Amino acid sequence: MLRAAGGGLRLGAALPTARTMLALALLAFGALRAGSGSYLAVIAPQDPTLLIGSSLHATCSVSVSGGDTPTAEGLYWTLNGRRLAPELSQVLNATTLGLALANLNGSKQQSGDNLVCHARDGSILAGSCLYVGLPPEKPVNISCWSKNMKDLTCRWFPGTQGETFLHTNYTLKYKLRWYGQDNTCQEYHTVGPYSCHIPKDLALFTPYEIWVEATNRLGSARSEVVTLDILDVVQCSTGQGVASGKRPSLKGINSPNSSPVTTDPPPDVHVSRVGGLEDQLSVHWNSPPALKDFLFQAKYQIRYRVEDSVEWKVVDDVSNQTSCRLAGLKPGTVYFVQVRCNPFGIYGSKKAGIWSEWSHPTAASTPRSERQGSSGACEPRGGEPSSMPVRRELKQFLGWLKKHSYCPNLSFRLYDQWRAWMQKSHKTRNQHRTRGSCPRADGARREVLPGDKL
Amino acid sequence: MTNSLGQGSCRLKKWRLDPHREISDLPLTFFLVSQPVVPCLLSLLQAPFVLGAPVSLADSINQTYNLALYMQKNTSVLVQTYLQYQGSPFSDPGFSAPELQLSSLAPAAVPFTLWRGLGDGERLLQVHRAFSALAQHLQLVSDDQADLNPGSSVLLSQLAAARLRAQGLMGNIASVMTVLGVSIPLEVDTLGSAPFGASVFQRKCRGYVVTREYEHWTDRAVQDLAVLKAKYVA
Repeated sequence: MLRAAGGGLRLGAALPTARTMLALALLAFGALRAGSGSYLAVIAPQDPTLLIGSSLHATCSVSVSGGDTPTAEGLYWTLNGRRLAPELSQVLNATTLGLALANLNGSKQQSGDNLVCHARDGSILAGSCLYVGLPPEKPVNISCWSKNMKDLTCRWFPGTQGETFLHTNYTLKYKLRWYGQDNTCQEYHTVGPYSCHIPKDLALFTPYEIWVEATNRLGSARSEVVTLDILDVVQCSTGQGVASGKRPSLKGINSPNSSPVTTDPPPDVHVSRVGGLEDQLSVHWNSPPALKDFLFQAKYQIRYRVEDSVEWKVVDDVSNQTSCRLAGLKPGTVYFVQVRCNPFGIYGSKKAGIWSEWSHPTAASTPRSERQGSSGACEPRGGEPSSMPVRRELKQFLGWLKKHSYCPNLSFRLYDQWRAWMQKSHKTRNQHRTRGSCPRADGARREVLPGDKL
Repeated sequence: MTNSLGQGSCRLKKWRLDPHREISDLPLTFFLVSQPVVPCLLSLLQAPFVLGAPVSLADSINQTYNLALYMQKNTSVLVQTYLQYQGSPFSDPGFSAPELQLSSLAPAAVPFTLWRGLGDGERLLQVHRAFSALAQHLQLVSDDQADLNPGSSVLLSQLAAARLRAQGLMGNIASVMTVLGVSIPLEVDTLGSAPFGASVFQRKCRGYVVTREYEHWTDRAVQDLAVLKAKYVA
């Protein structure tokens, strides 16, 4: 309600009591006044909430103030700044202008559409804010993870339609499955607009029921209930720099179709060459610090690709070592390597947790040669012994052996014979050391080299 | 300890208002500028009240004048940012509704001869009273906008900064008044119990009036202090 400047406040007889009280209150302490003209006007309804496509009937009633005769003539409506067509409004009586709107569109801003009743000279007499929208959709795709088995962060999506045109409030709730009351999550927007973080007071080894409630002016909706045990969703993390409530640096938050957000991968990934070997690279990393705290083991996965390719090769069964040697690589090529971890065996259980994000790609290049590589598998220290640098290394070794052992007749031929024998047999290729049948040795290894010449 | 601006580790940035810039540019810059400024302003506020150090009238007037000048650069930005968030017709370019006023906020406009003839004490009293009311109204508008536009962190931070500046200016004016021997009035609650029950549209209008009057009163404060400066500062 607006009051004319300098005039007393007189209300039209048709106004309800509540509005009278309101008007008096406003008059006494800081009423909004219209300085020009001498009208007092009221729009009904005030701040209505409507469904999209519905219709609205509104009235703008002017009252007398001072000596002027109020009239509804010359008044006009605007909605969001645009003047409404004259055929939509009609003069209902001498002091009231009516309006009929049909098939309303969703509100242009969350603070409501501005429906304003103007005097003939354009000045604002009264206004009302319309809230036109849809009730909220069921939130979907709730995913949760725990970084330290004490907290829980959950993320969801607002439902297929997304735009309700009204401000929608989301509340994440959780409770123990078999008893207890509902709890409400308090820390919102930790990893994006639809997320919440529960920092403490969570039990382990017992399932929780988790759901999200969405509310707006037109109604509410509740998501499906997700049941999980905190230990099932533990994520491998470095445990550093991510205190509860702080935002970790994450990728993929804003794309609705991205995979669940994950946290820090294993720290300090180093990739280096293996001496002069041209088809191998050695990868080292550190285990997550939380490992010792929570009695879990981490299993790792490595993936690597050539610099100008998009296809990743994955090495899966790295178990719980913190290093791996990649073999069968192309010489003289730059490779990008990434590592990620997954906790399992938490408190002795056999279940795995959630894979962390891949570490930042670390690049390294293999030494130059003309050899071709093939498969990707973690090889124990050794590898294919048939390339030039390996022969060189062997030569050096044999030279050393000759000097320091008592086998004066060792030669490369022995080595080739041994290789041939190895290919025939199905032993693993672990043995580099050519245990030649030294005349002074035990003699126990005589069977290794058939037809040897000493 | 220093009384004048620009010395010591606290440096106020000169921020120029370019009328041709897009509205969308301004609020962000404003926000970035206002962050380091607010602690600066608080230290200015405290400077005149350090115990045992007599403040000269000239220094006090200069400091207050410079502060008002600095505030003046940002006041129209606040109005524009505010209007942006309320939707049309408020957000329409060139929106102006002088017919809207609040009875709890005295307008800055005053007949020129009357204003020129004001005594020093009365002049400072009027400005002090106005900014006291403005600080309270800005709090009210902040609360309203936190409800109506909860996502508008730019607007909310500008409103908070404006309120702090109003209080800072009040403090500086109080120091000038002290030196001149004018008694500082007690803080009056200008809002009373009015705010509750206002409709959304009324709240939007109310915020517009408050930010507009904040701009007008800052302009007036600059003029008032210029008069005092001409009179007392050599």
